[in-house]
Amino acid sequence: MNPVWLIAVPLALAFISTFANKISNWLLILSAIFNAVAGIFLSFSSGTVSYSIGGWRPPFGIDLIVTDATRILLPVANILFFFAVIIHFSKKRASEKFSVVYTISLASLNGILLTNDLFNLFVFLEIAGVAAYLLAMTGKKGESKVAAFKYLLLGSVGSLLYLLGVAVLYAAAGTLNISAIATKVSDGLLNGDVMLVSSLLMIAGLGVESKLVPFNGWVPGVFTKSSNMATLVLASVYPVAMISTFSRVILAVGDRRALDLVIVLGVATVLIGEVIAFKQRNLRSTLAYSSIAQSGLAIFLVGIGTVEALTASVMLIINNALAKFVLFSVDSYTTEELGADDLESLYGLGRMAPVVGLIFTVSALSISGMPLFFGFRAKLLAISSSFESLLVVPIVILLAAVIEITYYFRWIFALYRPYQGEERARLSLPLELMAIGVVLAAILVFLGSSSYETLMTFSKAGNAMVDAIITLGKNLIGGV
Amino acid sequence: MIQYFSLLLTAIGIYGLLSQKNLVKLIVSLNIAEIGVNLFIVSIGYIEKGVVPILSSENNSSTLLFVDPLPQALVLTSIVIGVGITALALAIIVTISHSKGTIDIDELTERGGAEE
Repeated sequence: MNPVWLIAVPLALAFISTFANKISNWLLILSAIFNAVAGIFLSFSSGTVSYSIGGWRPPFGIDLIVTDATRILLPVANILFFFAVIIHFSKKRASEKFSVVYTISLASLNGILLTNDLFNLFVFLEIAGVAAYLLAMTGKKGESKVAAFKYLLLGSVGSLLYLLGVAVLYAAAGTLNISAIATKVSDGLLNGDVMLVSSLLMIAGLGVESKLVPFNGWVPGVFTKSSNMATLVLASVYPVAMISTFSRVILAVGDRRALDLVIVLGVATVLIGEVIAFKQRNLRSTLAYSSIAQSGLAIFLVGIGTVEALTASVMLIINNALAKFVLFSVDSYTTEELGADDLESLYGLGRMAPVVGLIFTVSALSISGMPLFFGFRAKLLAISSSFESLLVVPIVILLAAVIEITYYFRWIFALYRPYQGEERARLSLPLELMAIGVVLAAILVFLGSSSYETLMTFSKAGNAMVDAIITLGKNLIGGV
Repeated sequence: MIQYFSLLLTAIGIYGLLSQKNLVKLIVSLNIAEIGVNLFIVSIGYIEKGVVPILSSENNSSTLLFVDPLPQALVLTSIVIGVGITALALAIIVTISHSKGTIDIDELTERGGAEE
């Protein structure tokens, strides 16, 4: 199947739903189902395949690329989006106003994951950005609009810098195809200083969306102020596309000196994110800063650049997406039912609603990297591969892990602590949230405790992250 | 030479982004920076004494010095995207001024808007 349908179908349905506002909810569900099924269908085959668009062959035209890494990330992103849509529509007061925006964000995220062209990536980043700014505005209060504006400014400046980086690289390499540029880079045909400039601009540009440390000022405002559904999509589906694209582009066309900077920024992101998350008093802002830390963790491994490191990076991205989906949906459930999500009001929740306690505990343990859960394997691999770099890197990462475990345990204990206030009714959990939460928690436990062979998929993905694009580029140049 | 001017324009835009307090002026600064980047991209494709890259009865030899048409196509796309972003940003400013009654960053921050 040609993966262009993953982009074309949501885009076409979004176009239709701007005219037919009444059925736009159904069109959103339809496109989410189609993409989830198509994403799974795509993951059955293996190997690197390039699909040219419009009959122009790759170094001259745009092509979409499906690698072993895409085969994991694409289904994860699309299925999580589908789950978010289910949770959204199970509530009676689902608004039709933003369905078009969600459909467009689905199309652009698939485009970001699939495209193999730098300028095409810029266009998809902008579409995803516009959709994200609109989603950030969906909160009830005026604060969400201010947060969205801040996000818009940072995001626009980021993509401006990225565009400048692409222009510099195009002037030197004469093509926009990532594979073709990667081949020229590995053959040493490009001036190192030009590459350094363009990689720095691209790191700054892509760093805004991937939440790298100096560029992530928008994250807490957007994640705490916008609506529940929007936060769910922005915190679990968006990072899958953004962080994997950051690593794809920087690995293919980045300069070696810039990769050292990526390690430094990534480790700083982890440390700062965990420390601020430790200080937070309510669950949602803790999760927001924990998201920053997790993206830092996935990104510093890109700077190390070995197959093992990239395997760990892919595993961390997926662990973060699955666990954050559960944690954020539990958080929005508690804010709706209890009216607050600070430490004291969560007391006793695990006894009132045992399933909520269970899925929250499993996801929190997995994200903080406890044994028997998927996060443990990801973090173990991350730390063992970070010994390739300076010794201070694994030390800082371990220190950050200790902080992370401490604050996640504080939340887990709060859930099981006896509640002292006035009597509260036993809470009922919506069926779809229970089903989705249990499925995702089961996946986290399964991947954490299954045999080594199951993890071969991830090491294949790590391999593809490092090798696939440049191998394709060598074939392209030979084939033209 | 024009490349230095376009980068200077980008730098002016970024200075505006850092120094202005009014949300509308921030968007104006963003647009200035954007124009700088667009000019830079167009200047990449420029060639001294180049001709339009279209084969016609006057320009019918492939040995002629054609300018690179790709940056021009890129700039068209990026101008359109810039217009879209500007429109969205102005719409957000309108909703902010409705709900908060001000579009000044200092006042928004004092009311607990932009920061925690």
